[in-house]
Order: sequence, then structure tokens, then C-alpha cells
Amino acid sequence: MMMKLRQGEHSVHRTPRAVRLLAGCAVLAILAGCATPEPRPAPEEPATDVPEPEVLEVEPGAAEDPELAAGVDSAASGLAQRAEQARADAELARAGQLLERALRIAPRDARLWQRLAVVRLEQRNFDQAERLAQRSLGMAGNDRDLQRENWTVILQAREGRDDTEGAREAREALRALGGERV
Amino acid sequence: MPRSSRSRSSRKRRPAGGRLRRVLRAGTWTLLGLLLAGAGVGVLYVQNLDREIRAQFEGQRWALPARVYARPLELYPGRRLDRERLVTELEALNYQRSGKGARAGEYEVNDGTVALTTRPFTFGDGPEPARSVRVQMDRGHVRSITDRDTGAAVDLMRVEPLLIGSIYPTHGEDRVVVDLDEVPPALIGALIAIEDRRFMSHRGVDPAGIARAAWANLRAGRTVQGGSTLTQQLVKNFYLTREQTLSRKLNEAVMALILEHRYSKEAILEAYVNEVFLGQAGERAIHGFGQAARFYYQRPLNELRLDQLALLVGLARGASYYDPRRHPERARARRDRVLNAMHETGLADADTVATARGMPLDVSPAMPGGSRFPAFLDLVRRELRAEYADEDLRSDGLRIFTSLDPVIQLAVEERVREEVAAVAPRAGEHAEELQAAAVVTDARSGEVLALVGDRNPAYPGFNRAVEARRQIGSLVKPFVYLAALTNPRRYTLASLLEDRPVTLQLAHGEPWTPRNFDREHRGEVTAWEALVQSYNVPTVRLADRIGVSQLVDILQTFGLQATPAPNPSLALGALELSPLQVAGLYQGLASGGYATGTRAIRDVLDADDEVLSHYGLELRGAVPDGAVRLLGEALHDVTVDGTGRAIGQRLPQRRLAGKTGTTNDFRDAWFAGYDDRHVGVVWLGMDDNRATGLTGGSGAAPVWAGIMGELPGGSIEEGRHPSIEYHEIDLDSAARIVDEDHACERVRRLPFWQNSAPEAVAECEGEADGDAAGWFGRMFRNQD
Repeated sequence: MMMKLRQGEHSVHRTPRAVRLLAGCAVLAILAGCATPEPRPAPEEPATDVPEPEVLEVEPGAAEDPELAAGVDSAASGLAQRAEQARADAELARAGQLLERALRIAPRDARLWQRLAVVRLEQRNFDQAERLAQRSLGMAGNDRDLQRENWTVILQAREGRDDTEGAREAREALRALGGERV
Repeated sequence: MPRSSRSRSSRKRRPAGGRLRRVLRAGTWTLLGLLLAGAGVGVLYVQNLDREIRAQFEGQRWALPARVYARPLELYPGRRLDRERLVTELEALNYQRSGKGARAGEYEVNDGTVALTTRPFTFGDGPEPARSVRVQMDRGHVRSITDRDTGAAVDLMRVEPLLIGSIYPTHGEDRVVVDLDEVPPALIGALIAIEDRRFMSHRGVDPAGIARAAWANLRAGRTVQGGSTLTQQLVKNFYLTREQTLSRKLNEAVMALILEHRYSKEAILEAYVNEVFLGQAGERAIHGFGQAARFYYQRPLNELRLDQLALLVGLARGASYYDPRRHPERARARRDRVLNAMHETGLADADTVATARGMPLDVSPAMPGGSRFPAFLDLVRRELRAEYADEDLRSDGLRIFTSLDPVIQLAVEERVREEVAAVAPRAGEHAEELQAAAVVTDARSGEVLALVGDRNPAYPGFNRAVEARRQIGSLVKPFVYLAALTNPRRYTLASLLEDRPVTLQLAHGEPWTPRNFDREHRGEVTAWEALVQSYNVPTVRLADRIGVSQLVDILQTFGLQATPAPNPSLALGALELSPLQVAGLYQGLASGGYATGTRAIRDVLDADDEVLSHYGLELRGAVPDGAVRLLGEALHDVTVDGTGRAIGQRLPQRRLAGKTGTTNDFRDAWFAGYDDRHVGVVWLGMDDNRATGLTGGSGAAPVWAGIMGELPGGSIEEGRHPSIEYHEIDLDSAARIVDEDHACERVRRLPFWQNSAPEAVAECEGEADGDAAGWFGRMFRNQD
């Protein structure tokens, strides 16, 4: 939906849903850490660049009160909409500023992180695009659409950096998520 | 030659007259020649003045100081904010508490509702209109915001940001340029009434005015009136030196005529209201009414009352002679004269003038514009210097938007003053010299919210928060343990570490034997205990096992710029950092493993509101958040059971995390830690590195608790991580407890990441471990 890039390339093969789901979980478990407490082979060296999933939580204090949470949400999403408009007007810097402002209000909103990742990607700041997408992925929980969108950003960031091997991994992750767009 | 014959004949008739004529003719020619030459010189002279005038009038007229702003307060339903904090912010912005809060810069409090009217402001991401709203607050949160005009709900708005400082032009002129249509008509009227009543009709010079002034001066025997028009005064201020010579007077008159010829009355007035000298504060000269309004009343010009406008107009005649702060009686008399002049010219009726004359002077006692938050401003200047030339900062009218939260800053300043005064006596005979620094940053973005560089936060001296590089001691330990915990197959919080004497080689080959703070050795301790109780020996052994270079790596992932030699002593904090740099390292821990570095500036805008630089959120390295979460749990225990337990005692309702640091001979007392949204770092020590007698736990932790208690933060997350589970652990054997009916002496519930809990099951039967427990056992016996 937000990702306009590479939209034309729809994959044609269709695997049964259950298989895709399983494969998705397996690849995710390796690449991002799946949301299930499965053991996974831990690297001997401390990992320094692959984030783990973080628990998605609304603003503390607002948590016990849905009305407060809704207020925070609507303030942040209003800014996100303005950012989207700025992006559509090719005012990428302004879009970034608006999203950063939204993130100050709702720092745990995984979708805001993803939107900022897209803006950085369009600014050809591939390094930040990937890191922001990883950050979003870490908070995405089980939201497969969001996971897909983040992996798409990661893929394009890696392609932008000519990181062939990294791009291949991202493509695999996307395929596992049923990312038909790749 | 009829002409010559005629002249000859006339000479005959009137010989004397002929000579005169001859002289006259020669004189005429000479005069004509002289006049022509004079005119030529005059044309050149006028052309020259004209060029000078146009250069000044049409170029960039003034060198404008850079303005530094705090972060704007964002208001939206659901925001954590209590009434006191909102009022503190409004008071800092010099909002007036009034009956309705309906005019710009006014507010009113009614139980849980704060009514306020903001001022319009342009930010980097666009303009924010003025709004008149009711903010309803309840239990520490904004409940709703209602527009008072339309009744509509407001989702999000910003209050204009507090001006926290300026970077002035080298000549010291400070001004806020205003357009003529922003100037209250009453001010223009008063100015014309008192200074130059024929301003609208004369052509730059007013002979009638000069005559009247000369007559008045003659009668008084001294100078009581000036005959200068506003145009002449502008010329005097604008182009000329202060010397009183005839040639200067001539220049002034000619230039006034040229100015009037070239430009409209409006343009001349606008230049005047921005140029006129209206006050002095040290090196800083206040020019123009826009800045004078802020300087004397801390409000924008359009919010001033008639009497206040009259006072400012009165200052145009002599800002130091009529200085309302130093000479209130003179200032008052002058103000009243201006008000009378307004009455005489029909600008104000008798009642209005009487009311205005009855008002007190009420200029603000403090002179705003000095650096109110010197340490933070110093940091801003340092960050700017990397990209901007000093001259641009001083003259281009840049606007610099920072992350400072004035409400938090004021609270931190107050806490530092009081808490440091409370712990200082324990530093013994040199208690007075104990110094302090404190930093508060936003945990997610790394933005600096508050910075204190001196025990007396208003003192603009050595900025310890940024400049003091001190050994960080045990503040480094969390990173040793984090490096281990990222490898859950080999290390957990229950890993047993050796606590027996060890001697290692330092870089130059000398042997090094680290000791625990209490000089005891405990044989074996869990990693959890070693961290929470800050034991040195097991930490050094752990670092040695995983490799000190791993520690360097993880520190660099979290933003360390330097590359320290991988000496084993690094594991005990043989590394010199500033409090701000420490905050940068801890920010990564507070945000679940994502390092961002620290920043104080958000945007730099030029005078036309174009964004010159944007310092955005930038993610640096990342460490798996499961490992960071384990560490966070242990760091929370530091504040409850460990070396920082003073914190848990003071703030029992909050889940906070952090670490103490104490360097050799008690030279530095540190505490660094975080809540769910802030990172805080406190340092105490002596500038000359003398011993303080304070530890991180006894000295810095109470100050830190005092600060965190004032912040609008909550508790760090507990549990609820998909790949973390908790197990009861026997601390002596580091084995799991499965039987509820156990006899283990020292039991603790610990988190484990990725199924890394020990498989061994504790067998605490009889008195097997009884003697090993000691005081430590007693301490934890009733924990879970």
C-alpha cells in the first residue's frame, strides 16, 4: 500500500497458505527472531546488527485507559497523514520532520518507524532506511503486512547499496512472508 | 564692437560706478565659477551620500543575532502532563494569568482546566497558528483540548517555544525586526506626538521645529528640546558617528532630505522603529521597539498596554537617562509626558491617559536574553560550531530549535542545587568545593532534555556535563555483562563467575590485581550478583573470558567515539568520559538496544524560515533487545537490592534501572540510569580530582533519585517479552528450583532469554550451604 516501488513485479507462484505460513515463521526465526519462544542457534559472537522483536505496547499510563491511548494515536496519525501528503508533494525532508515529530508523541508505534524508513529510502539514505525498518520490524509483533512492508524496505535498501547477498536474504524473508511483490 | 563702446561711454559718464561694475562682473564670474564648481562638488557629495544611504537602506540592513529556542510544548489528548507543569511552562513564556486567558499570552486555571491563548509561530515543518483553547487535565494526563472559538476538539497543537538564548553580533546590537504593520498604531502615534509632530508633512528637515526648539532652549538656558526630525534621528543612528560637529550636522540634514526624497514615510518609520537605541545590558545594546518590548516586559510588542508603549517611546530620547530599571522616577515622568502628548494631539482621551498614568511601571526585574541555561547553550554552540561560521551565527538572524525541555530543565536544576547541598557535608572539609553535573536525555531519540554543568546551574563557567572527562568506573560494567548476555548459550544472569584473587597483565606488562570494593572474595557468585553488587573481580574475569575487545566493540556500537586500548582495566571503567557521553552510552540500554547518540539541536532555520539544517533521528548500532532486557532487569535490581538501593527507597512506586560508579579514592561518584522514557546521568566530584568521600551509591544515587522523581516518566517494562521466561534460581549453586518446598537459603527469580535457563536442579537439603550464605543470604532470604 505505501510501497509504490517495484509494484509491477508480482510473483506468480502460489503455495498453499499453511506452507507459506510455516516457511515464513522459519525464515523469520532465522532472520528476525520469530515471535515464538523457539530456541535458535545463537551466534558465538555477540550480534550487533540484528534486532530482536520488542513487545508492542502503547504509551504507559495510557495503557490502562483506552481513551488516552486513542488521543495519542490520533495526534500521531494526524502528523503521519501530513507526512504522507508532504511525501506525495516530493517534500521528503518535511515528511521526515513530521514523522520524527509523530515518533516523539508515539515512540512505540511500529508503523511510524516504517513510514520514516520509507522516507529515508526515497532520500536514498539506505543505511538509515534499513535500520529504521529493522526497528519497526522489532515492534511489528505478528502484523504480517507490516513485516512485509519492512522487509521490502530492507530489500530495496540493500539493493541500493549493492548488497547482493543481503538482498537475497531479504527476498527470502519476503517470500516466506508471502511477499508476492518481489 | 558696440558693446565695448557702450561700456567705454558709460565709464565716461559714471567712472566710479564703472569700476564697481567691473569688480561686480568679475565677482559674478568668480562666484558663478565657484558655484558651478561648488555645484559639481555638491553633486558628487550628494551622490556619495545617496549611494551610502541606498547601500544601507536596500541591502541587508541589520546584523541579526541567532535565536535559540527550547522545544515547543506539544499538547494532545492522552499526553502525560500535569497542571503544574503546564503552568510552569506558561510562566516561563511569561504568560499572564488573567480572568479569561482569552488574549494572546494569557492563561487561566480553573480546577482541572487550563484556558490559554497561544501566539502564532513558524517552525521548521510549517507555521503554527495562534489558538485559544481549554485544556482539560485529569490524573496527570491531558484529557481533552477544546477550541474556545469553535468548540471543536483539538487533536494536536504546539505552544510557541521558549527563547533560551541568543548569539549576538560582535558589535553587540540585539534586535527583533518588526514590520510596520506589526507595530501598534498607538506607538507610532505617540512617537510622532512626542518627537516630531510634523513628521507626516515635512521633507526630512523641519525649520519650524528647529526654531521652536532653539527658542525653548534659549529660554531654559540649556538643551530641553531637540529640533531633529525622526528622519534626522534615523540618519544619526544609522549612518553617522556620535561626534557633534558642523559638518556632521550638515551631512545629517542633507541625508535626511535625500532619505525623504527616495523613500516613503512608512519605510522611514519602519527603519526608525527597528533602529532606535532603547537600552543596554552589559555588552548588549537593545535596538528597536520589538526587542525593547521583550527586554523590558518579556512580551511581544503587540501585547503591550498603552502605558507600556508610552514608556518605550519615551526611551527613544535617552535610553540610559530614562532607564526604568535604574531611574524609575525619571522613566515614569517621561512616560507621563508621552501620554500627555498623546492627549494633546488627540490620540487618547483624558480618561485613557489618566488610567495609563495610574499604572505602575512593572518592567520585569530580570533582563532576559542572558543565558538562562548556560550549560545547555554551551552545548548548542559546540554543536553549531561544527557546521556554521561564527559570523553567520552572529549576523544572519538564524533560528535554532533545540530539544531542551524547560520544565524538566528547571526541575533538574532545582534538584541538583538541593540534593547536592544535602550530600555535600559528607564530602568532609571540602564540602563547599564539591561539584556536580547532570544530564537528562530522551531514551528513544537521544535528544538532550536538560543539562546542568555546575552545582550552581545558573553559573556560566566550566561546563562539566560536556567538558569534564572523568573515569567512569563501574558505569562500564553493564556493557561487560551485556557483551556476555548477547550469547545466551554461554552466558546468563545465573552464570557462575569466579570471585578469587586474580593478577592480569596490563598493556605495558605491569601486573594488575583488581580488588573488590570491600576487599572480600566470595569464591563464586552469579553474574547477577556480581553486577547488582558491583563486584570487581568477577567482572574482570568475565571480561577476560569474553575478550576485552568485545567490550570495546559493544561500547562503540553504543556510540563510544574513542578506541580505548583493550586493557583488562577497561572492564572496571578505566575510561574517561563526560557525563553527556555516558548518557549517550546508556541511551542505547534504555531504548532496548538501539543506539542513537545524543543531540541538542533539531533544526536551524534562516531568517526566511527556510530549513538550513535538520538534525534528525539517526539510528546507529543495535544489540538484540532480549539481552538488553535481561540486563535491564539486573539494573533494576541495582536500584532495589544493590549498590543503588537508595533509589528504590526513595521511589518505591517506580521501576527504574541504573548503575553506580565510584572511582579510586572516591574521586568520582556517578549514577547513570533510566526510566521508561528518560536517561539520567549524575556526576559528583572535585575539579582538582581530590577525594570526595562519596560513592556512587551514597552520593550520586540520591541526587539521581531526586531528579528522576521530578520527571514525567514511568516504569521500565517488566516481563512480557516473547522469548524471555523467569525461573527461581538458587544463587549458591546457580541451579533451578523446581520444588516449592526447598531449603535453599538464597533464592532469586531471574529472567532467561531464548530458553537459556540452567538445566541443573537445585538440591538444597539440610545445612549444606548454610555457612556460605552469610550476610548476603540474609539479605535475599525473603526476596521472592
